[in-house]
Amino acid sequence: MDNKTKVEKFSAAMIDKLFADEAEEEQEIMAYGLTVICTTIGSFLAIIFLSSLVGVTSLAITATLIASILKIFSGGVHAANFRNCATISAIVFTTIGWFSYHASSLNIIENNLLFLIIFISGTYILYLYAPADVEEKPLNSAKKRKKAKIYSIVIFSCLNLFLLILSLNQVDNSYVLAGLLGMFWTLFSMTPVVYRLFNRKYVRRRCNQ
Amino acid sequence: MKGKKVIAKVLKKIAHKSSSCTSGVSVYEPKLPKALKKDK
Repeated sequence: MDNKTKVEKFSAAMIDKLFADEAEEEQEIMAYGLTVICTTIGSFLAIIFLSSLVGVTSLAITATLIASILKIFSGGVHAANFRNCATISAIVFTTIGWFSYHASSLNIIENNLLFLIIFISGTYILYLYAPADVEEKPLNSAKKRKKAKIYSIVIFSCLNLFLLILSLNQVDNSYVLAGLLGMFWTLFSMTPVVYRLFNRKYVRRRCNQ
Repeated sequence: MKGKKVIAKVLKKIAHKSSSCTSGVSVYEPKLPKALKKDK
């Protein structure tokens, strides 16, 4: 049964038309590359469109970039199809942007308590669940899982430090808050609860398995 | 013809890079092709 999504079918058709002379295996690889480009650009455009309606585009993009950097290493839940992906991304990151814009006046990151809470809880979540993979792209090698866990904790610490430095240098609090909440969303998306919410299969693998 | 070769090279590079990461940046993850599963 062909269970490809629309965007995967579109990519395969494009590659088949443009690179008909390539071997089937090469075509599959190129179609995968094109799908990655289309879904990433599509999600970013959806986020830009929705956040621009609310007037928080730069904050939503800040949260998206920080969340994406962490997600590359830590993993996290993925939607079953591209439409859900773009919709969820747009809603989540626009909400983060909107909240950061309005909450920055409350001075909730002034005393650095939020940094401490996110850093401690985040390190614990990464220790427990990173790397959080999905059925479509399983990470089976124990060595690579261990490496990904270490990388994700290092990247998370660096991002925290970067945001703390921005905060200490009087950068607009709303951007720092957007970055922190973006990271929080990625951490949250790694937990089994979110996998259940997205109706995705959660496979618990240990690094030494 | 040269442009086509460049596009093919870029797409393959992106596919290999993406397959070696734990996750893609978007919330949707396309199914990994058989040829790239050995990377994992």
